[in-house]
Amino acid sequence: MPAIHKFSKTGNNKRNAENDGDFPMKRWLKNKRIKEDIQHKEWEQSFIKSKDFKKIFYYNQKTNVRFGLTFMATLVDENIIQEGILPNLLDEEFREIEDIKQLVPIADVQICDDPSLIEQKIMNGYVMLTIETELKHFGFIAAQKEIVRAISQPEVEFSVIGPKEAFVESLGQNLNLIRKRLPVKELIIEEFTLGSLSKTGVAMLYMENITNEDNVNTVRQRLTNVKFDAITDSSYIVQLISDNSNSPFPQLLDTERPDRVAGILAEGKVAIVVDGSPHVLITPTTLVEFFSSFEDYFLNYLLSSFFRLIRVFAVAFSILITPIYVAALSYHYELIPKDLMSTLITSRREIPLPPILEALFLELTIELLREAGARLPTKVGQTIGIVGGIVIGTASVEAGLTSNVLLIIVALAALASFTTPVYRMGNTIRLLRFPFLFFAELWGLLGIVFCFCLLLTHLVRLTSLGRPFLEPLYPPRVVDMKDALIRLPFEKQSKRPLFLRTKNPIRFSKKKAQEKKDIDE
Amino acid sequence: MKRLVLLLVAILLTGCVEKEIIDDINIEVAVGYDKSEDGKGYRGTVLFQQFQPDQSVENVTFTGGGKLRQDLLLEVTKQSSEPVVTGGLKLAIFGPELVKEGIYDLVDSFQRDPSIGARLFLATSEGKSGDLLKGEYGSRGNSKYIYNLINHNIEKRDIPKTNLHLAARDFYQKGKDLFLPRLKQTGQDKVEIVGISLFQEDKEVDILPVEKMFFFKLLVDKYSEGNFDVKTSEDARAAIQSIRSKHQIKVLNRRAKINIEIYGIIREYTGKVLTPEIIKEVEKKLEDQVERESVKLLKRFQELGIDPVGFGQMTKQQHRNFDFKKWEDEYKQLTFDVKCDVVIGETGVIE
Repeated sequence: MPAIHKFSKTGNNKRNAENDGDFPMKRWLKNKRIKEDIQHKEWEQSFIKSKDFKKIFYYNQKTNVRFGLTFMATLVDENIIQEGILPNLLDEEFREIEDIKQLVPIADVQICDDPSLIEQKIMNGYVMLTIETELKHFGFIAAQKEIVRAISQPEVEFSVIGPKEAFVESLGQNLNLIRKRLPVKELIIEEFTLGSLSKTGVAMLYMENITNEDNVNTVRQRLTNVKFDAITDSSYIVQLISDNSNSPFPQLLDTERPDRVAGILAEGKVAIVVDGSPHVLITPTTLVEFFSSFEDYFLNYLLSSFFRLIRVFAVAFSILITPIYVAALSYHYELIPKDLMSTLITSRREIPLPPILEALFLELTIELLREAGARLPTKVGQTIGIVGGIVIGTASVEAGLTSNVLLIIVALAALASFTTPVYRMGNTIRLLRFPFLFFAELWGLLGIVFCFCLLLTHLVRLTSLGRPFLEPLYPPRVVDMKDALIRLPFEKQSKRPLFLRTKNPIRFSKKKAQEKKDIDE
Repeated sequence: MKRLVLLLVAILLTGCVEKEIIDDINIEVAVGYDKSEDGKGYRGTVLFQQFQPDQSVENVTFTGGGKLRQDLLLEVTKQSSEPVVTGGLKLAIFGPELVKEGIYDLVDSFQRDPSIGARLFLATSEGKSGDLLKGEYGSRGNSKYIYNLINHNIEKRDIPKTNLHLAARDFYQKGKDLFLPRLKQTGQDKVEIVGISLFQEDKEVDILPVEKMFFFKLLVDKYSEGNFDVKTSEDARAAIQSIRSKHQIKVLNRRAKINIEIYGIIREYTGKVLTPEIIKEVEKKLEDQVERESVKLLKRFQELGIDPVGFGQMTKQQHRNFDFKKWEDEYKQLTFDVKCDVVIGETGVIE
């Protein structure tokens, strides 16, 4: 028996395999055999056009039974076939299809009689086994080729302290990363196949004894209702199952940290893992969660509360500072402190543009730099960022196109918008600045207030999986404030978030937790 | 779609707000009013700041005349290269002749202009206010210079708290009269405070000299950081610093009881040794002086028929059946009983 089987077009192999037999008796027997399994069937018509479709026949050494292996060469692992399947099927006593369960040392072996499953199984990387004696039954042996990127450090949500594992593009690997952190039977993984073409595996994770059933049912229903042909990333799912797809705000949190997913599952939220995506979705979520980095939980609560407040300030600053500059300079000179007046006036005197055009010019420059930086390889991107920032900024001030005060303001605002730990929210903030600028130009501070009211109305109406997006700020839930804009120490976090309506709201007994014993006792 | 149309209509059809881009306007920072030469109306001087590229400030003044404040603005607009706006006004100075005739109309116009802040300082001047504004004081502009001059004297020295808001309150309130700080140009680049102008209604009737300002502030305001010298003997003087004071006034049966509490620290003493006895003596001396001078001041106000301390207003607060018609006579017969309590808390580091 040759150690290496060459996979080539159907037929060539058949001949090779048949020539194995040296006995005339055998050859005679062969001619008597029915050829039904060798003939092309109707479902194969599309398959045979593909180069990687293989259908190969072998004879068992002991019983001389002919069996065929059908598979896609690009989807299966050759080593599994060569070392796990073929040696056993060729050399051991193999008579009927039931035998493969004993003969093949692979866990996922199925036998069925439903021809409609064939396409799906083959496309999922199974090897189909047919045997001449039992043409009505098919055996499926899992032999998927798993090309998995090594687990690397999180890049978007990097943290100095804490675990350095990030999700990869494989569903199985990602589920393993999560289950490792929550090794309890209550962690339920439900799997769906979404996308009429992509057949993407999507897993929904929740804790059976904690998560509110309504949340689970909503996610399940939304996932089963997804109608799209090719789902290539979890971002598709975000947009397809969001409550309001017209909102610039992301209503599902995505993370690349398995520890964060484990943390939110324990809180009673639902996680959605999509095959082929290194980002796992978390739902339901709230606005404040987008400003909390998972690193906050690794730091002392005083520090993390301070950092969270800084982030909230940075976001407000980033959205509002340029519009306020435009409003104050165009309409409200009374509000400018007298000491600042000379700085502003002298820096603006030579500038031919009104404040709004000046601000738009700089904001667009920054946006261009960001877009250019994002599209270029890392090293070039950094250079573009630095060169663009310094050279364009300084040059435009020297050329008298913008005032240096505004340059500082816009640079600071751009810097502040990078402090949001979730990249998706950072993009939203980039966009929000422009309507504010427009209204500031139109009506001054009144316009900013008006635009803020519009924003607030939108946020109040927004829901994530039917749960209010602005919670605990609105509706006000004082209990949930413990882990919102600030974070209280873990001893105070004995209850799960109220808005999730969990089955078991108690995380741990508060009384027992606070007994800290001294060594003397 | 319907919503979008409505939004567009709302945005596009609403009226335009007047745009005032800061480098395209001339911001009025101070104004001085004097009586015009022909005796009709007034002559106004408006001060603008011109910021130089090296961050220094050039003072630019325009003058105009008229009967209303509006006239002045119109005249100045004719001379100015950019539209004149009033939102930066920090200082309004009234010349000596005008003050005697009444300043109500002008103060009133400040109040009606929404872009003028309530923290505008009103002041009177000795000599023409126009000349005062045309000087060159400091490098940060005349308006800022005079504003800071008045401001730090209010915070740390002897001028009682005053601004447009308080002046208007004093003016409109029955039973209290207006007072404003009085400035004098002592040189082309110097200006100083020379007292407090006391008003009856909106006309200046008296000027309080600088020496009396300490006692006046004790009566109408509170000190948070004051200074005063006490003469204990022929060659010994004690300088009291960091004075904190408060006062309490009660009017009962035509007797006004005024309690003044003063807390201070002796920082300088020109005598030989500062013994506890001397400190006691300093306290006593100061108490006597405050009581004596205060009564003197109050008597003087009574003779002039003005009430800058606000006895009328205080009596009104403390009595249910108060009648202003009777009060005018009652005020003339009011007797004053000033009690002063001085505490010297520290005498310096070395004993």
